[in-house]
Amino acid sequence: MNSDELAGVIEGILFGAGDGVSMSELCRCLDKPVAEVQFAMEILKQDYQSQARGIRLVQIKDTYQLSTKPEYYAYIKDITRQQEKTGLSRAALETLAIIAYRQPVTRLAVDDLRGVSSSSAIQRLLDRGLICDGGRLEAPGRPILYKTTNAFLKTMGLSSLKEMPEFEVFSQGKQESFDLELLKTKTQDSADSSEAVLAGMLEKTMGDARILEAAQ
Amino acid sequence: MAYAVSLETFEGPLDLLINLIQKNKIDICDIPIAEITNQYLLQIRSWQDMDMDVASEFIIMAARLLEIKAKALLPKTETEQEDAEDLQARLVRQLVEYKVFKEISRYFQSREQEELCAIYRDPEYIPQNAEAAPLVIDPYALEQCFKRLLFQKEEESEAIAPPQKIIRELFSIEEKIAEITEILVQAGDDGVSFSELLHPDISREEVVVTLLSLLEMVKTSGLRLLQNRVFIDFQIHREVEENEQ
Repeated sequence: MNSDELAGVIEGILFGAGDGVSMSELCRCLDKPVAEVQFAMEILKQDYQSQARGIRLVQIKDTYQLSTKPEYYAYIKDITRQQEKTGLSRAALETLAIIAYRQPVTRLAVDDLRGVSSSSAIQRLLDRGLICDGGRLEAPGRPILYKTTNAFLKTMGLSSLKEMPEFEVFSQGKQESFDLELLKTKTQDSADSSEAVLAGMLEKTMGDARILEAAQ
Repeated sequence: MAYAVSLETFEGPLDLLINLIQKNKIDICDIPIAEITNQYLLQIRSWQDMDMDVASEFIIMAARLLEIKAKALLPKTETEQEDAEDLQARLVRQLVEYKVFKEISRYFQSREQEELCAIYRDPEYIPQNAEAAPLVIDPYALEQCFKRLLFQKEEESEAIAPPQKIIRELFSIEEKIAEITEILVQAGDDGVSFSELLHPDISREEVVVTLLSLLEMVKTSGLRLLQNRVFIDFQIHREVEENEQ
């Protein structure tokens, strides 16, 4: 099976599963080594980046899933007739921001930072599964430490916590409001870098193929 | 009463302070504390004028600002001077930090809004081969799953609240009054005791209705209740009006 074919099979698996599928499950189903599956996954990802595709590959930690492209939502929403989706409240977003950058963190620490009680916001985030119990702080009362979940990554369109901008990006913004363009170029960079990785990998396989050919 | 609507909402005292600082275009590290305190108090007073409850957090911050302002005005020794500066520095640190998280929450909001536009498809229901898939269930995950289902259900039902259960009224006060009146007429001058009105297998509801009926009768149709001591049975007499005699 060549890499293109493998990419096709992966696409089939992801579409069939609907849910996220982990890399290890994919390797087991395909009976292929991780590197090979990853390479095919990269081909699939590149393919989806084309404007001719309405689907994108979502990666959360080591699981993969398909979703429609957000930029085409305006055209898709009519047919799905779903209720207008509402986002999190300001209180919940502030609380989530603190937990995301300070995790694991206690409710009290969040309250102190916000200057108001955050218990209802925390409950809301727990109910939505965006944060979870991440152990206890060894202090009087052994308060719960909260941390973010994979659902948080999915909600924010992040594949891992490392993908969050550095805290300094925000703290050095000082008086001016945060420049979103700056981040867009940053994600563009990461897209470029994945392209570079693919190019490198392609070169390597091409080289391998040439060596094979030469050997034959 | 006038209906007042304030379009600006604040997540807390720090949010309000940052708003004031931005409105006045001042540097967060160099706050003219007297001016900001005045504006802060004005805002709180305007809320109070609108009959809004001001959350205690806002009052605490007002106290903090006044403390800083007062310490800055009073003549002081060197250590007191340091105290005052310390108080202000702590507030500034808190404001700076909060402002950063506000920026982050704005960033999260824009990401969330974009991601809300992605549609995932649910796995199709395929009857599973029970033997093929080993059943590994983490009790904690199961609990989470159950809670999520309850939460979803709650969110769904918030929109359409079903009518509350309607309980059939078994005893009405009007009927009870008629019944008691009849008993009292039969009893004549002796009257009856309260316990006599209660048959052995009476329900709690009927006891309540009986008592309410008696009270109603005392108010409207002249009934006399006699009790020798508290917490004991009492005697019920009809107050026979003179023209009836």
